[in-house]
Amino acid sequence: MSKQKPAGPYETVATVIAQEPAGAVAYCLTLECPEIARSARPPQFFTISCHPLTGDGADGISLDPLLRRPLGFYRLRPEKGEFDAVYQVVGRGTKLLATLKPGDRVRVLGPLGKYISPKDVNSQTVLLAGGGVGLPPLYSLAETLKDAGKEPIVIAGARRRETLIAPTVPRKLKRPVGGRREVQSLEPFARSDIDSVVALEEPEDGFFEGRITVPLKEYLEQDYEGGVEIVACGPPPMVRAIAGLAGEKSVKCAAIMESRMGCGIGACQTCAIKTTSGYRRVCVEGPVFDSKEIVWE
Amino acid sequence: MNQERGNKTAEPSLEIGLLGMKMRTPIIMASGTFGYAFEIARVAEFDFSQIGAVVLKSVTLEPRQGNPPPRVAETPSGMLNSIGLQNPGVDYVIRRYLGMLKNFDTNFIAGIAGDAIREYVECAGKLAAHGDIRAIEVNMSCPNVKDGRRFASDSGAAAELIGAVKKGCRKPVIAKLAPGTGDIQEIARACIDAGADALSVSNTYVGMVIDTHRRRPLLGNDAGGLSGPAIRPLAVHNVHLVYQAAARRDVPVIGCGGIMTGDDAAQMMIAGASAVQVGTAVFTNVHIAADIAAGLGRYLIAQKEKEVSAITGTLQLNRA
Ligand SMILES: Cc1cc2nc3c(=O)[nH]c(=O)nc-3n(C[C@H](O)[C@H](O)[C@H](O)COP(=O)(O)OP(=O)(O)OC[C@H]3O[C@@H](n4cnc5c(N)ncnc54)[C@H](O)[C@@H]3O)c2cc1C
Ligand SMILES: Cc1cc2nc3c(=O)[nH]c(=O)nc-3n(C[C@H](O)[C@H](O)[C@H](O)COP(=O)(O)O)c2cc1C
Ligand code: FES
Repeated sequence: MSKQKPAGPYETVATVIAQEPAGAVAYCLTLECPEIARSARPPQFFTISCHPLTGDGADGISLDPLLRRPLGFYRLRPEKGEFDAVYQVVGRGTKLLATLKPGDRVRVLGPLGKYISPKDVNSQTVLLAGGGVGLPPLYSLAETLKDAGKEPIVIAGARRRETLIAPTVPRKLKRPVGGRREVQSLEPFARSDIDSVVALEEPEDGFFEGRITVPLKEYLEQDYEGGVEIVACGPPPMVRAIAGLAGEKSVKCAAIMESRMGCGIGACQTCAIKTTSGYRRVCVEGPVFDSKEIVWE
Repeated sequence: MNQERGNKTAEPSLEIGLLGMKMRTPIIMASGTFGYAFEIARVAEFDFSQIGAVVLKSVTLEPRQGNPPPRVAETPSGMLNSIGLQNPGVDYVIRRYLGMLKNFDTNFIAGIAGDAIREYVECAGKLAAHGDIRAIEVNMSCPNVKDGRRFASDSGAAAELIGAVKKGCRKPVIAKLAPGTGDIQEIARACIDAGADALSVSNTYVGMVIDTHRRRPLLGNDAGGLSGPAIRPLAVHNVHLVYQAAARRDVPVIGCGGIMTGDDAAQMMIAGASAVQVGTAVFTNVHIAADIAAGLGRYLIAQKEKEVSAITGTLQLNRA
């Protein structure tokens, strides 16, 4: 076949470099996989086998669960050929992932799906709204947008401080919101000098009180010289609420959607979700969709 | 492969001939898990050299939107799917997808499905007219469409369908049987009598996974087709049964169900398959055909066999 641009996705074997708890409920997995680390662009994703290769001739044969799990990219370090993914243990597959140890080799496929190219983002300010394990992919996306000269602002929602995927630190916002200048910000974003605010359903000092839509509304009430749009990633009810608010305010909103997957690369139609133009594959037409196109069920 | 002289044995040959196709290996990518080939060919350095043929995702005369999600539910060593034959229709597939096949160095078989015989016949005719399509596989058994099992469970209906498709197209016709629908030997014989050039054994088994918390089926369509290693022994047994009916008539059997390794492929062939299909395993590794081929090669060396075709139907029952 003739040369394709860009190359990939890659079906390959990654080596586990590290695995550490991320917050109280999640893990951060560091994988060495130069092909994927160099070509991935957020919010693309990859799929990972839940079983390490054994090297005993049963290589790559994983029976239960059979299917690989899709995960997003938290931090990409192309120069080192590494990347981090943060995941929450929700079932058998992620429970097995949590047992991976440094040195283990695992089958991966990626990068998969569409990415958001800063060139195609018309607004200068991008509100990245999300919760749970939706936040880590927003981190790599925020960095990409910032590097391209955009203004990413992160809005996170969680039940309690303990269920947040990352610790918080006090921060002076570059762009104050709702009369607040000093808030609790997510530490990884603060380290990259990206503004973030957090809404907690159980109130605490330095946090917004209530659902994620509370601070989001505040942000949408402000004026943005270069325009504003939203990217939402998180639990489906949260993404839906964000999309609903975006619709009310006529602000463009990209929703990063989840679905159970078979192949991950467009061959099987397993990952279809309902859109205004029929079923669409999260793994190829997504994971990013215009939220207006999603038919929520 | 180099034919080395002296006391070193030559590499065994995985090459087979099937329905006029020269296949470098007996490994065929099954319908529905390999799309229309171009999707998976996008993977960097994708190599068709260990793939004997590909069965394209089943197409229907009209576009089908498929079933509501979720469309997959995992089970130990397997998965249920309820895709519901989502496809853009035969005309779209021919116009937009088949032109790409010439870039991929393997044989292509078109998969067809439908509700009425007329739909199958029209689809088969259109697809068979394409130069890169070497054969037609008739999915008689999709469990995910209303009434989809009729053709696979009633030998009269099966014969009528295969006979009509056969009459309407010039390329070889493969009947893909469904398991768990009564006497599979009887259906196999009916298909052969109606002119089937080969039999694929088989499609998925109908099953259900229940979310106990909600007391509802996990799949949006309630039930779905079970595939993967969980069904392998069932499929091997069915291949064994169908082979008894087909061998006498010199009709090749293609074994399908749960194949992940060279040894799995060897089991199917020993039971009577001339070639094998690999579906779900692609989800675990898109290059799985190369691994299966390598495993099959090692098996042949260990068995001192020179040709893979030599193992077909060599099963020796314990209770003769
Ligand atoms: C594009 C994409 C990116 C993702 N990125 C991340 C990520 O960065 N971090 C992370 O923790 N999770 C992410 N997910 C979700 C993750 O894939 C699932 O949580 C995981 O597959 C569950 O596997 P399991 O075996 O532990 O759970 P299972 O036992 O299979 O299921 C347990 C629960 O998880 C839900 N679930 C299962 N599979 C999926 C799935 N593919 N998508 C959504 N929910 C699912 C089920 O409905 C069920 O409630 C992503 C999913 C997609 C589609
Ligand atoms: C997601 C999925 C989609 C499938 N779609 C089709 C199809 O369109 N037509 C068909 O004949 N078989 C279809 N099948 C069945 C497979 O071709 C194969 O017969 C079956 O999965 C058993 O083989 P396996 O265990 O190797 O997957 C599908 C299977 C899966 C898992
Ligand atoms: S998972 Fe196969 S098409 Fe998306």
